[in-house]
Amino acid sequence: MNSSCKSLAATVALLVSGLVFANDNITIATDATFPPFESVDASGKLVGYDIELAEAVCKEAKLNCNIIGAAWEGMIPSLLSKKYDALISQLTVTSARRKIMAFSDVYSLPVFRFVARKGSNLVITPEGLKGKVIAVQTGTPMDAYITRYFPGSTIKRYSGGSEPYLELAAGRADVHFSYEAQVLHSFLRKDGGKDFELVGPRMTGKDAPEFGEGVAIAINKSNTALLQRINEGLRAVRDSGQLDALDAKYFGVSSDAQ
Amino acid sequence: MLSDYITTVLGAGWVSLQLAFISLVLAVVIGLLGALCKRSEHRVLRYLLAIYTTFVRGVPDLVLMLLVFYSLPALLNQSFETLGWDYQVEFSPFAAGCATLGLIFGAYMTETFRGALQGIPHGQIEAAQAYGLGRIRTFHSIVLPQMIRLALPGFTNNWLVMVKATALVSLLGLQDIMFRARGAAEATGKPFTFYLIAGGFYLAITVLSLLALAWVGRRYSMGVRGLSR
Amino acid sequence: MSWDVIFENIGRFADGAKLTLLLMIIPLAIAFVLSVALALLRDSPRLWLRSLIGGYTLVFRGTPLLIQLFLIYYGLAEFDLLRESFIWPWLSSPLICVLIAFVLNTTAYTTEIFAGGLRHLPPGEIEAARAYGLSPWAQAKRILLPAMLTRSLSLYGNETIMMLHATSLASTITLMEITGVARNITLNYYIQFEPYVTAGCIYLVLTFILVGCFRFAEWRWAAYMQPRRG
Repeated sequence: MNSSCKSLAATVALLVSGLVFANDNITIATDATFPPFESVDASGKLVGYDIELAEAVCKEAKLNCNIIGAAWEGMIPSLLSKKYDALISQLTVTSARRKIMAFSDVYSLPVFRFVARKGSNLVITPEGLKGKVIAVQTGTPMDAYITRYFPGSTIKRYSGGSEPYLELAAGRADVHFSYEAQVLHSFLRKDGGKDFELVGPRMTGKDAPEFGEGVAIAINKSNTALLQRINEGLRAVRDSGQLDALDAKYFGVSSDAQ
Repeated sequence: MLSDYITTVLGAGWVSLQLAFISLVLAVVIGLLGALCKRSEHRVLRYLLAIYTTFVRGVPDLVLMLLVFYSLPALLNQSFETLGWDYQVEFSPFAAGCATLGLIFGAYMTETFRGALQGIPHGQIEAAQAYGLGRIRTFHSIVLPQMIRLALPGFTNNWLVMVKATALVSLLGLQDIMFRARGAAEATGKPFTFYLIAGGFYLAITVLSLLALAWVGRRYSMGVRGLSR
Repeated sequence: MSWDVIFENIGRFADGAKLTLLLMIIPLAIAFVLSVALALLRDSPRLWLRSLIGGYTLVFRGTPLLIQLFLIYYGLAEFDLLRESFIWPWLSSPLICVLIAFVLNTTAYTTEIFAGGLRHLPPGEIEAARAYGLSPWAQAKRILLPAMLTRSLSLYGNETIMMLHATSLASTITLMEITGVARNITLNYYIQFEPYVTAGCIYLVLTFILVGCFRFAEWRWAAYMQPRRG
């Protein structure tokens, strides 16, 4: 029966889709729930700061990049098992992560901040938030920091970057702890965010080891060739002023000033 | 702006349907093979099939999908590395979804087809053999039409359950209607609207499938004696 | 292979299993009571009642449980009216939302299963009961219910297994049942094989126990329906 042979062949082809050899075609994965860095727009396309940066880096490094969205919970393990070649998703470089994967040069220094409802008058200290609900994205440096320093609070961990905002708006969480740029430029700018404000201290990598040394592109440790090419591409993007242009486009300031 | 999101969400219904149809083909193929194995005289085949159906019906769909999408490539790639092969296996969410749904519902189809085959009076097959009809001709003209009629209720049920199970593949990252609905819900802050739309899509598929398969059932039941009144 | 991680976290899996059983048993218990009532009314002579129950089962059997879960957990939270009402402290808890979604879902399926069992009752039994002058309540208690339940036993057993498996969806809204624990471990320890295999094994064991219970129940109460041997 011809049609069943064809469909069987198609199924086999689908099942073994993606035999990856070390060549110029690389797959970069991102967790597209983190606007304005990476998100999916109304028509389903991947857009954002990291997406444009990745495209620029690949162009400079003459790599054929396929940028795909992936579920956050499987992203890092998938990098380790070589399902993906690189990850660009505002990944913070921490000493724990350095042990298991390689990072490109740092391209951004994030600031971490709390966001809460206006007028909630919450004191952003471990005592002040005792018994309160803090929402974080699971498995991130923010998760690690809150878990360590706020043991008296109820911590709710979410698999995506945008879910915590729904929960914050619904009142299921009292505060959310994330990247200041992300809160400011995606949540607070929208209708749903007008009743909320940034609260608490501005924290960076210098304030706690959990916050790491900045944001970079993650690559599998064994793929030293790719690491070199990505760094070359990144250098070219920085030198040509494209990085500053991106910062201006998305944030109106250069990343060094953050 | 909202309408753009709605268009994208509904458009992704096509991905869900593709996933469902390809999984259906896989499930039917596995189901037919499985039904034949279960009725075979070889004990090994029967045992293998028992292990397969027990495993597949004992583990939740979601966990099976996570196993196929994450654990299987991890295991294979690790083995390849220790063997020294420079080979990487990788499944797309679509492929992993098809494979898992095909496996799960192949087990249920096996039961459905086995029951259907059992319902065909063996005398008819003996009569066909007495008339000199070959095995393939017997299957095609005698067994298959009756099997379709007998298997239809179970088939319908399996298909409907599978259509709904496709929603789980969105958790692997497949950009189907569920995934898009979730993204739209988070981007616009209107989860009720978008999940309602996605729910409406699945409900429409359910109702259409029920009507279509009822029509098929009536067609294949022509000439079958009903209850005398 | 990092099975040592699993052994370190076996306590979390145990807690997860407890939550899984909770998420399975409570909805099944509530749904059982509701379904018996709805099944008895399912083929009522009153059109509005039939349509209402039929519509309910169609909607909840025709849409994925995942969507029902998200509609109740995320969707209802969108409405200020609900958020400011007195039931909000319950609705805001993921556990309560999951239980509500599971109850609504499994009631729909169980109602149809029981109603199907009821339809296959020989009409002669009911006529005889009426001839004996049994009230509708007594009819239901002594004739309809036992027959309906024993006839539905194997399908109901399947439905309980489906409920066990459905508990894995609770992991999508932050609940740490078995699947949630497994997913959390993959995230924090970067291993993808051991946690899911462990979770799968736990579910297999639980399913076996459940199947065993129903085989026993069938032997104890529905043996008269098995085909006779010899």
